[in-house]
Amino acid sequence: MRSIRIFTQMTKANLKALMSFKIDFLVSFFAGLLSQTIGILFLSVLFMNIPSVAGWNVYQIGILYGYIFFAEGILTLSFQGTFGLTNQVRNGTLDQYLLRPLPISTQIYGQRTNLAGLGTSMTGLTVIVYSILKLDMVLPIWKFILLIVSLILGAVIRVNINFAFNSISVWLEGASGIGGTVYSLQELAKYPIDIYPRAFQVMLLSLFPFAAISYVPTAVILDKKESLFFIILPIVTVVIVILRKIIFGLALKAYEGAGN
Amino acid sequence: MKSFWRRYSGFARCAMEKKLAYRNAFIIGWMSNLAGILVSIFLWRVLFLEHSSIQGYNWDQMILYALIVAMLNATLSFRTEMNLSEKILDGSIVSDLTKPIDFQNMSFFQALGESAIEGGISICIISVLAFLLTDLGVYLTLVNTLLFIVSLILAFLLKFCFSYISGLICFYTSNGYGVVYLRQVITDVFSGALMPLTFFPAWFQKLSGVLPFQASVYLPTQIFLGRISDIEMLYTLLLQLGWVIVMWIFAKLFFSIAVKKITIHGG
Repeated sequence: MRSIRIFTQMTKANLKALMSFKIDFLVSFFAGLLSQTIGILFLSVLFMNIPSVAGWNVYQIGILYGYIFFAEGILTLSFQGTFGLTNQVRNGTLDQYLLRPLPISTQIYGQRTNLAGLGTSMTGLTVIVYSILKLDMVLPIWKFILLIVSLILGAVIRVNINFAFNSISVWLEGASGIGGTVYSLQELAKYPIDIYPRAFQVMLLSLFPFAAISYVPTAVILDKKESLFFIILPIVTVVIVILRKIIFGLALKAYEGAGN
Repeated sequence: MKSFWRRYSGFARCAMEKKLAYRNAFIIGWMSNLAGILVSIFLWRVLFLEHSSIQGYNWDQMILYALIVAMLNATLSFRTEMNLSEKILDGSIVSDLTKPIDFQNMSFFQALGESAIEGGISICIISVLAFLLTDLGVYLTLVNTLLFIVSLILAFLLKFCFSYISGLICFYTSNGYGVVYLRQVITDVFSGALMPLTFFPAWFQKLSGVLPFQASVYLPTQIFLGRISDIEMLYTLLLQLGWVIVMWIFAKLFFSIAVKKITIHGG
């Protein structure tokens, strides 16, 4: 509870700082919208030339895109501090968080707010809603709840993946790029994982569980998998949160600080 | 000519050494490109199981297209452009302006030095992938390869102009990332980096035909894939050369106007 209050306070302070540069505020919001246009363009141009990919049509794949955009947007919007971890280890500025009587992970979460994320996640939601309308689907109430729950759990997974892999940079003496490489793996989850070899499918549901964010809920909503398949999502969420806690705990022990 | 080379080659050498010092970062960065390449390989693999050719491309041609685009994208990267915009935004460009050199030439040689390393690594990775995935040998005839190299050099010059111009826009705005994003969307779409231009609707193909961007990605790929006839070859290369000259001069003019925006405090 206290963590949430602190996080809200930090976000408020960040927003005030952002608001003082009004033009930049708008530019980053639109940059967020823009950054996803390439992906959507690729999808629509591709489907002008082919009818389906592994039995999925353009709107069905659109939902996968939407889930990935939404989770990425939430990460960028409110939890961008997890990206900064690598730099903080390199510069030794992580020290200041260790000294305060507040939860360290909360401080890292609330460190930065980036409005580009709002543009990205809104794009994600729009793409999902538009696709569902175009598919002429009537969602029964349980699927609607499932949609909302999976969006939230997806964002939780996304933030924790980022946090966990950026924590690993402590052992790599601040070698950046690991975060970026993992980040780019989400591209794989924008398509039905049936197109990948079995090893990749397993990897995308376990070690780098991006497919749990997009493929698992979408396949259930579209009746491509039985509803029991959905169970993977909460399991992955719990596992990744626990793993993240363990990795971050170990990372803090290994962190050597800025000297003195 | 000799003094010109002596004056500017130092910048290229310097940029190269800097890049080499951070080679691990670059190689790790390359792994992120691999994810994108993997997606397109698997996506096209599934599609080519169902279709024998899509818009006149077969599996080999499609994969080679995607790989050449990836190679071009990794050379003269995002970083080059950000360097310039950061220089403008934090004001350190002033120290370059006091040197008795041409700023555009200097930036070009710095980009050349960085790209020599980036390009070298990229060509190695891409060649291995191309060799494993496609019947590469068919496309590597002597004449074809030479023409491709000429076309690549022209494409590189053009890519430099685009990055340089978008970097210069930072004289007018303080949001470097926003400008670079926008530039990326425009060039990715119109250059054919997203997908071969023939996949787009006809009106779009007409539009991109009259814009300079296709000369930086699409034309080199078409030369490599042997999709340009002998008669059109000269025209294609001249078109690339023409755009390089136009964009280079435009960049010079733009700089001379934009540089007046500098406000120097103190002194």
